[in-house]
Parts: sequence; structure tokens; C-alpha cells
Amino acid sequence: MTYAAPLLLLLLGCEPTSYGTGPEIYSEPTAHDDDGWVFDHGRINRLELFLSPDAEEILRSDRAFSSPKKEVRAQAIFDDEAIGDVGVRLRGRLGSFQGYDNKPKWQIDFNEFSGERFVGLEAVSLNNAAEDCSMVKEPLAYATYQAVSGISSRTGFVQLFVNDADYGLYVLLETQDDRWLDRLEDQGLIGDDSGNLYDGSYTSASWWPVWVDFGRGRDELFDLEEGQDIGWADVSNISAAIEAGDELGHMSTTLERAVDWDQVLAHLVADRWLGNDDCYSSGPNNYRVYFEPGAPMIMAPWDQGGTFNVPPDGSRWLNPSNALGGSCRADPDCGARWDSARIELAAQLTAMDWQSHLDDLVELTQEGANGDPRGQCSVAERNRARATLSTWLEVASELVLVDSED
Amino acid sequence: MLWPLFIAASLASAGADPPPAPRVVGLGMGFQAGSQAIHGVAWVPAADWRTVEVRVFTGPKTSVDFGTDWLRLILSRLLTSAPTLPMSVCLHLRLPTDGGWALAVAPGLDLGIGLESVIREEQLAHRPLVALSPSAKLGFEHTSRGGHYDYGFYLRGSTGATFAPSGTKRYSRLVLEMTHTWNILGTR
Repeated sequence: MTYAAPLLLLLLGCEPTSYGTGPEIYSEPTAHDDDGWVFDHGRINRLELFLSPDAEEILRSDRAFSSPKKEVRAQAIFDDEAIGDVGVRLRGRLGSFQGYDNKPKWQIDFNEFSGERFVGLEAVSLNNAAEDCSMVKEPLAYATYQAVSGISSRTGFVQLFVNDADYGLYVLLETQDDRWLDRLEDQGLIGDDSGNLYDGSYTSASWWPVWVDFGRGRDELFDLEEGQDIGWADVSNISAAIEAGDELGHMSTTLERAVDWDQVLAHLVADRWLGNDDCYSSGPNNYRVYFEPGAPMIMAPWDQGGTFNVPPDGSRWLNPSNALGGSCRADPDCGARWDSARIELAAQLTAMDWQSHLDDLVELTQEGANGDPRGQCSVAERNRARATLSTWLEVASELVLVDSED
Repeated sequence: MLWPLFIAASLASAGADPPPAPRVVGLGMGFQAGSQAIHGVAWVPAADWRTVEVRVFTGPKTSVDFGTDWLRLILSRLLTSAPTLPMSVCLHLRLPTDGGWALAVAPGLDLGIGLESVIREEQLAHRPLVALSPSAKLGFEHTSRGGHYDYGFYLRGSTGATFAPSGTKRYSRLVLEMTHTWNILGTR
């Protein structure tokens, strides 16, 4: 009988954990004209969600492999500003998924029910840093992609309260949607935001991960996030060009023109510099591709919890397991471009003041991370993780130039 | 479609003399490992633990087998919003050969029943889920001296679909199966 209750709870999936309240770490509301303050690394936002008991029950029913996750209505207050009904759902799968009563990842869709944006934003994503004791990996990772390839999401921080319960500190992530494309267009990073944006994150079949990539007969697994359904014709064009290149023994002209290789190679260099073991270069996983009308395809990073994990000089980087990397490496000219990009971008990243960026992030998040009532790392683990990051930022550019066969 | 079944049944009935004390019920378990195609997605590895297998012998060389997989029920409860209990039933025919081994053929049906959680009018609701697939297995099995237990190795195939509120998904499975059953009532 002693073990019957815990065993029954395990079988039923119940997790009767109760959490306390952490320190109030959020910043004072600030005057704003645009959405820049939401992603300001000098402040921690405050987000309050109010859910009905029915909505809570719905969210509790979702598990790591629930697909799609269920979206419910919640009342939201962002930095003292009541923004009415928003759509809320849990995010994540194996590794990062946590249930509603723990510290889940969230998707907040501002306009799901009201049709109204919040400071121009349609949605934001809240990441729980479940795989990151430092709590600052993701802001550093997205900043790296931003620096080398120009295509990335902005990040910030938020202290979340759900029905007045303190859910602690979260990484706030700019959702990649049509508004995000609009921002890229405004900044001149793309010429036209009316193209198709696809998610290339892995899907699962009978709980088994199925990687999504070009040229594997799995074009239909690319998930159309924004744009028009054209039957994956844009994706298939690249897949066909990759297969044609395999027969030719070098990259086909079609593939050369269909992909913005400068941007994609910069993305792949960032994957390696960041030691990302859960990205396009590794899975492939956690990436998006955008097809601008009349322009070559570009790539964006998504969900960067796997960064700073694999040394940049490891042998795994020498033989790309992804289709685009493999096609480029098999082509002498493209391979040379890739190596040049690696040298150039390593120098660029070395010149950046990463240590002060890291120090600023650590100072901003220290109290919230250490006092997080739902945090799963000890202070000692956090300090070790942050010390490792500091060392990584010092030596990554040197290591990324080394091709070692461990 | 039924001719292989008729041939197997005829061969089974034409075999050696039946054992003097017939088996009645066998209880055991088994493992399956192979591959599964989720149509429109990919072939992926498949593994099952036939947590309980019950054989009700209807004759010296025939039985009706019922299988369940409680491990998958627990995993689906913990990891998905659609807890499902996989079950199977098949007609198991044996053709004894020299050396104590028998050729076995078993046409049947795989059935999964479960509940999928969905949103209905902003409330949580549970709707039934059914997986259905005809199956067949072919292999060899051995009965111990005295008939206390059987074990067998089979190639097992099935194809069908899961019908759930979230949609219909077609699938096919091809696995190697190993089972071991103890004859708990009656031995020869």
C-alpha cells in the first residue's frame, strides 16, 4: 500500500507539486511607441494570465506528444496594460515540454480571439529554458544569428503570473509570423514579406522523430506558417535541385540560384559557432525557411535550447547530415565559400563584445533565475553554466576554425 | 482472400495425431520489433511489448489468441492526449513438423480503443478513438516436452487506420514477433 498511491499517480500522469512565490523581478512599465521595449535586454516584463477552470483543465490535458496543442482563451495584462482576451497554448516536445502545473513553454496569441495586436505584435513565445541552467543561452544564440546572417528573432525576458501563481522568469521570444516578416521587410533584410514561411522542425510518427529536410521525399512535412498553400512547390523545387546535383556530382545551377547561399552558409557557421546540437546542422531541426517571391530562399533559427552544447571543433561538423550542407560540401566552389564564410564570420564574432553582453544578461536575470519558484537548477549549477558560457564566448571563434577528427 | 487460411487449416488438420491431453488455455507475453509506416509521413521503427497474451485452444492445433499491450497504454497516457489500449485477436493454426517445431499461421485483427481529449465549446471533452487493421503472422513455434509452455518466432504484418476526432491516419506495420506462453490449464 505504501507504494500504491505514487504508482497510481505516475500511471495517471498526475504531478501534485506545489510551488512558492519568488521575488518580484519585473521592471516598471515604460512609455513606448513601438514594440522595441518588449525585447529590451535592460528590462524584465510582467505578464499576467487569468484562466478559467475549464481552460486550466484543457491545458492540463496536453502532453509532450500532443499534437496539435490545444489553445484556450485567457485574460492578459502586460506591464499593467489590460489587453483583454488572448489565445494561450503550451509548447514544446521531448526535452523542453513541461505540463501546465510545472513550468511549461507558452505561445501567447494576442489576436487569436480579439483580432487586436498588442503594440503591433500578433504573438510572442515564452521559453522555459528547461535545458539551460544559465537562462541566457537563447538570447545569446539569437543575437549570434542576427549578427552573422541578419535573420533572427528578438528576445527579452518576462516574469509570468498565471491566476496569480508565480511561474517565474521566462525568455520572451519574438514569434516568427507575418508581422515578423513585415519587420524584416521594413529593415531591408528581405524585399517582400508576401512569400511563404515554413517550419522545418521535426515531426513525430508513433512517438518517433521524423526529421524534415529537403530532398528526402518529405516536402509535405514542411509546415506552412505564413503565406499561400501552393502544394509545397517552392520546397519541392529545392528538393529536386538537390537530387539533380547528386546525379551531376556538383551543385546544379537551379540550386545555386534557389538558395541565398551567403545567408544560409552564415546560418550554418552560426550553428557551429554556437555548438548547437538541435538545429538545421544537426537534426535537422529547429529552423524555418522563407521563400520571398522572385528571390532565393533564406533560413531562420527557431528554439535554440540546444546551443553551447557541442564544441565547434568536433568531427560532427565535417560531414553535414543535412541536405543543403551536404550539397554545398560536395561542390568544391560552394565548399570554398563555406570555408571563407567561416573565417570571415569567426573574425566578425571575435570583434563583438560578447563578455559585456553576457555580463549584462547575467546581471538582469540573476535574481529572477536564482529565486525562480519553478526553476530546476541550483545556484551552483547556474553559476557553472554561466562560467562555461563565458569561456565558450572567448574561445568559440578560435575553435570554429579547427577541423578536428576527435 | 481466404484461400491461404483454408490451405493452412487443411494442412493442420492433416498433421500428426493430436496429443492425448489437449491444452486449454495459455497465458504469456511477447515482444515485437520492426517498422511502421505512418502513411504520408515516413517509415519509423516500431516496438511493442505484448504484455498479456491469452490463447484459448479450440483444438489440438488451433487456438484463438488475444493480445494486449498495457505498456503502450501507459506510455500513450503519459505522453499523448489520446491514451489507447492496443489489442489483437487472431485464429492461430499449427502444422507440426519434425523436431518438435510447428509451422504457424495466424490471420487476425488488430484493434485499438482509446479516448482523445478535445476542446468542445471551450471545455475539455473526451471522444472515442478506434484503430483497426487486419493482420497476419507466419512463423515457427515450439512446444516443450510435456506441453508446459510454447514459444514462437513470427513475421507479422498489418495495415489499417486510426479513426480519431483529430483525423484519420493510415498505417502499416511489419514486425518480427517473439512470444512465450505457459499452458496454465491442461498439458499434453
